[in-house]
Amino acid sequence: MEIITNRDGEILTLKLKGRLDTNASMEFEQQVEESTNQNTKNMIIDFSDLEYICSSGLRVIIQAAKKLKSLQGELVLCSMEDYIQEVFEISGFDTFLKIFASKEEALKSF
Amino acid sequence: MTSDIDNIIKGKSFSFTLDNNFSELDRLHPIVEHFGHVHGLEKRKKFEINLVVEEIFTNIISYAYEDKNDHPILFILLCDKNNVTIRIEDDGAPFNLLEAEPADLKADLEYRSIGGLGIHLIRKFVDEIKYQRQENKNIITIRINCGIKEG
Repeated sequence: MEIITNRDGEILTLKLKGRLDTNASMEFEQQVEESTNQNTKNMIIDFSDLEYICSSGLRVIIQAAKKLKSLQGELVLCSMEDYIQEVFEISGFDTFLKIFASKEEALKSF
Repeated sequence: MTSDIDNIIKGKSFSFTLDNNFSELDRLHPIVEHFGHVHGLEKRKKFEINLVVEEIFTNIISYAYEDKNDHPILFILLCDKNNVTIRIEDDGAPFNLLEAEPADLKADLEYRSIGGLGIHLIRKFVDEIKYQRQENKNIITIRINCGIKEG
């Protein structure tokens, strides 16, 4: 899986491309760890090019959300395929993670 | 994928073994993807099957064995008119996925525990799931309704 990073002011966007399977989740976790700190605490994960996710990926996302919250920041998600969004809904993640239809909307939310 | 595999897949069932190793996911995904493609499954259904198989496989890798040895895990995939049936066998310690603790879905971000999510997803995406312990093997059989058109 490829992770493309982008900055809009203080907001960091991680765009995931490919499949977030158990193996990719470990690299993803590392990327999140390296990217988040006192200066980078607002993050968007862009799912527009992600075609697969599993529970390991969900776990990394929830840990990222917790970490950013502890830094007084926030993680939001955007641009999911319908079947990917369904996984978040089935897991109940949509009750505490904001999911936007587009990156523009996600950026506006900060 | 070679035409040999195509021929096997178009038959009644398709079976393969993987070792209890996360690196084997790189083999698992293309096989399951190809199985779905050959049987004309739609994108969403292919995703669900792929997800369920990965969740079961990674559970086995994580929990079934205490030694550091390679163990073969057998997968049998079968597709008929309306259903995909998947059978996964491992020779690890007795472990019934169905008796595992469900995820706490009501907990908010602070208290949400990490465990149980994979099993929750499996239950949500399969129509039937059965566990058997036979001859020192764990056997999980799942059925996913697909409403596949005859091809």
